[in-house]
Amino acid sequence: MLTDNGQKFTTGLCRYQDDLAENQSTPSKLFIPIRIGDLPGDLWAMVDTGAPYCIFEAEVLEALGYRFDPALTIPLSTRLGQIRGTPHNITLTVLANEGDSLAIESTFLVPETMPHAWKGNFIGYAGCLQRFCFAVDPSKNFFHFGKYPDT
Amino acid sequence: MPELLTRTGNCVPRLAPSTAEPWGPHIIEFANPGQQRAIPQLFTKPRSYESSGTTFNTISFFPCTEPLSLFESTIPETFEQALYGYRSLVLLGQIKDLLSEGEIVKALRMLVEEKASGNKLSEPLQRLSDTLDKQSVVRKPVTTLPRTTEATWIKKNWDAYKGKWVAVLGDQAVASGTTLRELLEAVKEKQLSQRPIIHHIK
Repeated sequence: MLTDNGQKFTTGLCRYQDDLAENQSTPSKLFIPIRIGDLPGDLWAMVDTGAPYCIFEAEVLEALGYRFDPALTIPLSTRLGQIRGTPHNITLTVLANEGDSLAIESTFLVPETMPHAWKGNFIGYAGCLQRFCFAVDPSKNFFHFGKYPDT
Repeated sequence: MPELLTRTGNCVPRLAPSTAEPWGPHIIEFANPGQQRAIPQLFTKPRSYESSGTTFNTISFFPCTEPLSLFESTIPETFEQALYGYRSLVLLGQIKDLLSEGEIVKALRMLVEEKASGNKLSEPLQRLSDTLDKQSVVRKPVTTLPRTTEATWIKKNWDAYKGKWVAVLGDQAVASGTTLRELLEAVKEKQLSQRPIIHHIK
């Protein structure tokens, strides 16, 4: 595990996949294993520091019981055009291969409709990644992560 | 008070008094077609109206990028309630604008400051506050196997399963389906001792 000035910086690590991108012309993306809700299996989700919210495939969010609410909508510009969604708080767990996993209360956007070309699950920065420490070791495909040190 | 609100963006509602008296009835006009709604009385006539020494403040701008839903419009019974409603609507517009730009931290800060100033949040603001405020991070003594074998299987079988949801455990698919619901039912039936990786091959 990594330390910073003698303090624990990370407390878990997982191996990430970097070639699961559907469009193989855009490789080198970070897919980490996560667990969400009561799904009977784990998922891969892409670490997306350029996105504010976590946005997962519509079927996943629907299976977990989260719905778009027309009474509370936020427009959001994405790479695939503008979408409208409702913010929800959902806990996702980043799964460790070594050390401890991390359950993070995250801000998701549950969209009204997904652009047809939408692929995969995305973990956004302000809505999730900003809430814990992480580091990437591309030589080993390791994603290190940990809770902020208690202050 | 000829006009309470003026348009500042594409979808900003404009409150147009349909009579000489500013408290109603009003028509809320939206830039989006089909959103026009008539509200019989938006404001109650203030008790202090026409008494000397009373001035009324008007709100000139109403920043919002989205058409307002009907539930966001209330018909207040008192002038104070009307001002509270206005303040909440303006704040909601500002918060939505921030969230639309991905500024979750700033939006939360505004909501916290609003609460700290002693103001009760309106229902939609309270919902947003509840959603954004929860940010706990908890360590869990749980580990999973590296999913390298599952990833290899997915890459190898990409074309054969294109468009399907698959559940992969080790080097084999334990279930597949055209919808996630179908897949989840199949996985639950199998009663596996280990959790598979669920992936949508698109």
